[in-house]
Amino acid sequence: ETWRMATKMPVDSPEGKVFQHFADLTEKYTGGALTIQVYPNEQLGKEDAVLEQLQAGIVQIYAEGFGYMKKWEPSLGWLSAPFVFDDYDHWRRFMQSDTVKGWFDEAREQAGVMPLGDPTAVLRGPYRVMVSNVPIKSAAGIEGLKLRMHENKVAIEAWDHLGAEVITLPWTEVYQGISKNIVQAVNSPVALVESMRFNEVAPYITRNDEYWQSVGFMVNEGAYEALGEEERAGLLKAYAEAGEYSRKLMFDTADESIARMEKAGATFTTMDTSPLVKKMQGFYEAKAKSGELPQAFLDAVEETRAKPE
Amino acid sequence: MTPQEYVPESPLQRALHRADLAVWSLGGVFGLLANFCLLVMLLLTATTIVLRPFDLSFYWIWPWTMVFFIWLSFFGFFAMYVRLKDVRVDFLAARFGPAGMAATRIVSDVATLVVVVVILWQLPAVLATSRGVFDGAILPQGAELPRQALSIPLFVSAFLILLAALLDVAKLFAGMPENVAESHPES
Amino acid sequence: MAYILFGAFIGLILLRVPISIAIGMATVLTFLTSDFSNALQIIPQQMLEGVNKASLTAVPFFIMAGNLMNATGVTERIFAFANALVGHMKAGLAQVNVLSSMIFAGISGAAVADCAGLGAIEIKAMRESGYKADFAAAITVASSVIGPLIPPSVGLVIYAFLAQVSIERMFLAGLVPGILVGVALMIYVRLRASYEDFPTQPRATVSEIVATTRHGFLALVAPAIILGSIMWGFVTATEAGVLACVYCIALGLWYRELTFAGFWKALSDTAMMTAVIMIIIAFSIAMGWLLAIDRVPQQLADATFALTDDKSVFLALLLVFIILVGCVVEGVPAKLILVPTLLPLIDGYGIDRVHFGIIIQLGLLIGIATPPMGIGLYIVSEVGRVRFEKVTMAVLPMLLPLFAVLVLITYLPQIVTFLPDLVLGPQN
Ligand code: NA
Ligand code: NA
Repeated sequence: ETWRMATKMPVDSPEGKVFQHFADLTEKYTGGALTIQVYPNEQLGKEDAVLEQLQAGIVQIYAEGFGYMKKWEPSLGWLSAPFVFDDYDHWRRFMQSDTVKGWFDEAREQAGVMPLGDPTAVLRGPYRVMVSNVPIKSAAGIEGLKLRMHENKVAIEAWDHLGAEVITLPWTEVYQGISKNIVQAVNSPVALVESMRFNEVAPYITRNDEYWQSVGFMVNEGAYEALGEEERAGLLKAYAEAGEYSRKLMFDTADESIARMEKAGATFTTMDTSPLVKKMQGFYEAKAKSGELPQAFLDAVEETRAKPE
Repeated sequence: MTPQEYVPESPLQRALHRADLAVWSLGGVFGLLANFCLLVMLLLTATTIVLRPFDLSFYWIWPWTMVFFIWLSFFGFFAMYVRLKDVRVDFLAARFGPAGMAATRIVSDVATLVVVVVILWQLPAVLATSRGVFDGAILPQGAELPRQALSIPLFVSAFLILLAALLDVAKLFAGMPENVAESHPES
Repeated sequence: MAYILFGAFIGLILLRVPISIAIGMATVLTFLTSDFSNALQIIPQQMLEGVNKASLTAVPFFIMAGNLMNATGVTERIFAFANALVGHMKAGLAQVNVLSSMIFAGISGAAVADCAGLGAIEIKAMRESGYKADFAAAITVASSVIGPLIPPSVGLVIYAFLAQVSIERMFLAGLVPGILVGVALMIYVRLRASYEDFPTQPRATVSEIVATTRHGFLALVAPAIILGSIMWGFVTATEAGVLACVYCIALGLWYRELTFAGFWKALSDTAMMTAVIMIIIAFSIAMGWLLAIDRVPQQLADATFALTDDKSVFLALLLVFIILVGCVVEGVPAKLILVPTLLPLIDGYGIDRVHFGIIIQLGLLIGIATPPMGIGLYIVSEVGRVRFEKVTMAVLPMLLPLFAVLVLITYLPQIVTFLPDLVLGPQN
């Protein structure tokens, strides 16, 4: 049997390599009973179109952020809200909580699409940075900063709440935008900074862990159910191993890239984000009060927060 | 010839001709809708340029520009079909004289019917799966435009094209000429 | 599958089916005969995908700029300016015809506006001064090929989106080849004038040149504004298109030649032309989905690599293939089907995507001047009141300079790539 797997990424990108590795492992662990054909570069369409194809069982796996599943379960749209979680482990506990499982179950009811295994296994990014043409030493540095944002309501309001002057700009215009000082800074996964050449115009790279991201392996439920016991086990094993491979590959790639950029004159720092997380709490509580953000989301964030000893 | 130039003789022809004129006018209405979409795109983009030096921007402008672009294309579908704005290659058909023109008239109508019937047939499937909103296209009340609204003009246009093609088949059997774009070579 | 697709498409077009319906029908037929006959919902879904493309929003504005120039009298001023400059040469008005197209090209992004608007003025002037109508119409079509090469260009916007190259880079790449086509046509006219009698005009007086230059200058700075604002990053390509339109409207108001009726007609023509292009794109994207999921591009690439591993041989095959396709399929759908299909091959042979973009752009453009699908031929036979067959015959020898430039840029890629590499830095 052959499954079709759609992705947005080019084959030679780090994520592209992870997907191919996953396809190779699947073939190996199922003894060739299940092969996976990867369709890179949005060949089959953009997110909404591919999700519809996934729902219809024309595509069997889509590897992208889980946030796009918000059309079936709106709570999932909040997964990349900025500065909700204290740290990576907090986010992981949250993602594995029963509340989040419940949302995935809802999406599965609605559309027959479900995550394959642990939703945090395959890492994206591997973390987020702010790239700016002025040094940003602390949370206070965000005040009045002209920050590029995509057209996302929550992200715009959140960064506005943090004091930035938010300006929307298409991703491909960011380089020019910074060089003309139309914007001073942009948030980006660290993996993309060098390939977009942002460091040339904005040499200050600040790790801000705006949010954590995994690459969701969204699977058509019917196709998954139709697999035999052994194939299913092989597929899950391949997924888990691809996850480990992704974490190693992503961090190695990021470290190398940062070293190169530092050599070319960039400065890399890590920001203490706890003031930002604190400042955002009021924002999210207001959102919950107005009914935009499910209260269950905030409750689960609190429940999974590490308790002080 | 266009419907305006045609003079019907029998009652059946008169009825069909009235329908033809109505469809022709409706094509004009859809043309107006497309013009309106284009004008809005022009104004929204011009506004963006003008506001930029003042560091002013509204994030909903761009998504709405996209929405109007999509609607321009889909409203325009019916308008350009009925008003005969698409290119048709007739040298081969003309070589076979009136028979060639009549035969290709049927081929065109059948092809049109197949295409729009397929689109309309898939309407329920598309509406059922196109869930969610078009990000950033906020409505006055603060909600965002549902994705389903994007394709609706396509289905409306497809339905009207279906009617227009059926009408041409009826006209064919009533012995009426087909509508063709005006052409005045070598005058 | 590819055979059903191309066969049905070309067959339907020859059977007088409108292009958009022909490509829709070919798509439906291919779906029905594929493994995806039960997945027809992909067609309307991908149609939405096709028109929901941010970079394509530049398309209507580059079309509109040309229509507005025709509506505001800017076109006449360009013609007068070109006439003052080269009208006195042998076969002067033919040279004017080419030069006007080069200037017009700096604002208009489509060949149609050149043939229909500028072409009407050119052909009328040439006939009145004694040129044969078919010659006048033919040089008009041949020179309209310049428009979509010199930026801005609708075709290059579409290619940039398909090949994931920046629009800026494609625009800069088209500039020199566009000028080369103009120069080649002017050389051709000059050579022909040396053994054939063409009407001549007196040299323009200095005061005439000064007077027309004042107007021509305003048209000449427009491309600088458009290109410059994109290059220096002040505006996106779409915004540059809007700037061009606003500039034309401002000129029209300044000259008091823009009426509301004229503006409305330009708007309506643009909306209709955009709708035709976008519906063709919509169906092509659906077809492209099917080709992608059946991995047709990869199979074609494998088969071709097995045939030859020599880049020059491949380029020669490519040229012949593109020209043949260009004869029967209009530029937009041809590009939509060919570019994604050929990209694995292009990358495989190590051909620069920018270089390939200009090859396919010019190669397919020649198709507007060849039967049966030559849209340019239809338009000039309409506006020039000449029989289609007569223009077709008259334009044949004029294809030679076009082919010459095409071969030149194919085998000397630096002609295409040096300018974008110089301005934007080499591609990473
Ligand atoms: Na142009
Ligand atoms: Na010309």
